[in-house]
Amino acid sequence: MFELIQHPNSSSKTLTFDNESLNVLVINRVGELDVDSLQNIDGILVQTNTSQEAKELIRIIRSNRNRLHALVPVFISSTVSKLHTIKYQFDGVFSDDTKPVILQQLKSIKAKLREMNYEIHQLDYTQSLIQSALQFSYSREQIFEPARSRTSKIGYAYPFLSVVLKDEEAPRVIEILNKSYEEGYTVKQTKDKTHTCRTCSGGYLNYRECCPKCGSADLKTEDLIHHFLCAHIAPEQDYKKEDALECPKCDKELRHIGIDYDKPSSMHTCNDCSHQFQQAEVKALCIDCGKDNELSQLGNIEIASYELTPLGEQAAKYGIHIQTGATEQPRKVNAVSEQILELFKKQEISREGLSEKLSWEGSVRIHPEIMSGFHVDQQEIIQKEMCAIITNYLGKADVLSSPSTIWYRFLVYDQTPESIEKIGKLIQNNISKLISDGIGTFDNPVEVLISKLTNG
Amino acid sequence: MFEQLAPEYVEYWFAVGFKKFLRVFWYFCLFEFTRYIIIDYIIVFFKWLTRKSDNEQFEQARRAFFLENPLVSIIIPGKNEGAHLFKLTKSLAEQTYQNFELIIVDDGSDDETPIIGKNLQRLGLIDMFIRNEIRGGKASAANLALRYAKGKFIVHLDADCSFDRDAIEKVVIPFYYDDKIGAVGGNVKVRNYNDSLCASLQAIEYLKTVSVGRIITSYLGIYKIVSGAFGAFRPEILDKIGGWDIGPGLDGDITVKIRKCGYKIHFEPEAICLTNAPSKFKVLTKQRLRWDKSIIRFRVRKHRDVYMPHANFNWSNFFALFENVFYNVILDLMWIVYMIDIIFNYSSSLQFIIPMNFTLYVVMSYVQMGSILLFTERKKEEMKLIKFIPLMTIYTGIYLRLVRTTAYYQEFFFKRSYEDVWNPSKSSTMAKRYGL
Repeated sequence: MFELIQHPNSSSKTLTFDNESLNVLVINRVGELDVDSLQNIDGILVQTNTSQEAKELIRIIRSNRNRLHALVPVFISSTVSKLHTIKYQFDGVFSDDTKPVILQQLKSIKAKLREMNYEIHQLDYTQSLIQSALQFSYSREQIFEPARSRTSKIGYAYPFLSVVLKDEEAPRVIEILNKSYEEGYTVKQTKDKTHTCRTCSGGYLNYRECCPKCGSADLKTEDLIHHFLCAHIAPEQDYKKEDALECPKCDKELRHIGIDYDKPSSMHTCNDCSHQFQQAEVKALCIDCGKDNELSQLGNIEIASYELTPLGEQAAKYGIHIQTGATEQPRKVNAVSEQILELFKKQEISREGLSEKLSWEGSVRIHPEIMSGFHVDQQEIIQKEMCAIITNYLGKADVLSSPSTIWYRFLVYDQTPESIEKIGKLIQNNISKLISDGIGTFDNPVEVLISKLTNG
Repeated sequence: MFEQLAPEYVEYWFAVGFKKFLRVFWYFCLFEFTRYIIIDYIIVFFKWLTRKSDNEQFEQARRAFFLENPLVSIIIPGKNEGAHLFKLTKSLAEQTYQNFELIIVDDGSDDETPIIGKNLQRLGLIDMFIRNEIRGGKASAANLALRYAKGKFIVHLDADCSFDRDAIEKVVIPFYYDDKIGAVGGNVKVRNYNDSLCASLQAIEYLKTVSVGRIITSYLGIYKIVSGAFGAFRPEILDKIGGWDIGPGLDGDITVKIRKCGYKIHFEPEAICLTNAPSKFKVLTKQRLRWDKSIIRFRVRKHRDVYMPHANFNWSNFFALFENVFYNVILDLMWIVYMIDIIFNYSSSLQFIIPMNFTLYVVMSYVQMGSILLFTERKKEEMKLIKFIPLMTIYTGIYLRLVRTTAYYQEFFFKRSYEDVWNPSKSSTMAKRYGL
């Protein structure tokens, strides 16, 4: 027997099955949700009027700092409008037909949630999200499958993470899931790929043919007609005479394609700048930020499904391996954080005078325009290459830090003024070459400054 | 003394007297010597007399040209010319006159030309690269380029040519001499003259027929072919005549069309373009068969109205075409008559006639070379060709004459030019049907 009974003085309803009873909170409006009252709740049934309100409700629940509350099973009533757009965010759709299934789900999730360790680790936000995501997946025995979503910035959304993070943060969802993959908690299987705007990572792109000269999309395209008899060739419009085609050169009527004439190609004319061309440039306009992207500049995001590994299940139950702050920095190859560089610098200054040779502090600044044309992922690749070039000219004990993609700092120990000057020139030349060969020509692309390490 | 030095066959002609010499060598004296030595040297003399005013006229026109600084559209139609395009853009980048747009039409190439062309356009080395997926023939490709050209003057080039640094400037300046100049022909020379005997002989031939020959015809006002490899046109005239018609021989055809519109054609010997000539006789034979057929097709058939008295009759046009037809077609027949005459009437003296004839032509070739060296700006290079001059008698007198005669026969009786694969058959079929 399966029924939902309203408590007389509470919004909470009790879902009962045989002798077992489960507390299910039924919520009709966002205002009814009291996060503190979730303590003794086994599940929530959302029964709002609109999908918008349901979406807001689930976001509040899943964002709860108390992971036990955040992971509570939440179902949506089949009566909510536009259900199909949000149902992937819920644990199931509640209707008379699905009652037995939902009860089973509730029991299963409850059992799984009991297995987990909710001790608060010193996790940063990202790690905390990974932990919650793993626990969500484990408790639901659910793979993180991408669902097509019109509201997500990249066109795809995932259960739990896409609820906790806003639609605009969709690329971050992928980043978190990829991190879980890199750390061995999940395995992934590619389902799709999507291109994103280089500026805002938006996935809603309008691909259109543009004028290669002025970028306008206001183009007119005409077929060219070649008249075999007199070798005249011109746009179709030139031949049009009422309903017929007549050669403007020899006045003969063109009756039959393949016999009298053919259409060897077509020509675009830009209505804005009158430029005529055959090869229109395809550009992608980002609907979100309005920036035009050349195709080569677009970001490329892999959309995959993520399934827990045994390590992931362990992490869900007992908590993920705690990462220390020191490991947060080294996304840059061979680079230390700025704080560490400062520490080394202080130490070296205090050591001053112990060595006959001098120690130096240097910085490399890249012209900001050089990087602005690239997607964040590509910027990181270039940053790694720059670090590799600089490291190449530094000694084993020397220290490099990269506070941003356009700024690099380094400490060089025990070098004569002549050799440090040489090192500076080599770094400047090689980075300039990297830029000119791979990116393009800029005025003063690199600025290298080196000074003696002093207390001041 | 002379008797000891001169060969027996030369002594013989001194012995029999001038009257008999004229009777036996009438073909040489009447046509070849008169046209290629007397007329050439008279005109060389007149040009020498007027050299100062000519220079002044040129300088004045040059100033007007640079003051106006007009946009020049360089158009290059062709098929499978991708390999030449980069070198061509480099050659053009060296030009003293830089206000030009470069339009290349790829006429249905089936090699890497489209990729090369598009890349060069992306790099900014070509202003407009137009690709026709379906081949339409050289005339339609040139007409397509003309349709999108924006310049005040059109310069038509072949992709496999390279140019002296001032060639574009020099080929356009003559338009400032006279508004009635409708087209200017550039001077085409052979770049690969060292490649083979075949190329060396063509290099001499080009110097005689193009470099010097066209100075003479241009001076006489009967210049009738602006080479497709390098020529300049006024676009408004090209529009008026509907651009190029189906070839082969479309360069000669368009020149006649411009003449018939009442415009003058000028040859500019100092606008120099170098081209690669066929280095094998087999290839050369095919090329010449195609060129020579076009004389019958265009100069004899299509433009036969030039010879007829009518409202638009013009003597210079008449002589321009007549000279061409006379010196190529009629003299070819006359040469057969001459051979018959000699064989029948002087069969016993052939041992004196044949070597003497050969000697006359060799001497004439050297004298002609003198006029070439008077005009040329590359004396040193062209002096290297002198050693090949004795062979020119065989090359022009026998080889080219045979090829020419074959071509005339094929075209006159069988209209073989319409079967030439140089043009797509869809166009040739229509042209043949309408007698174009």
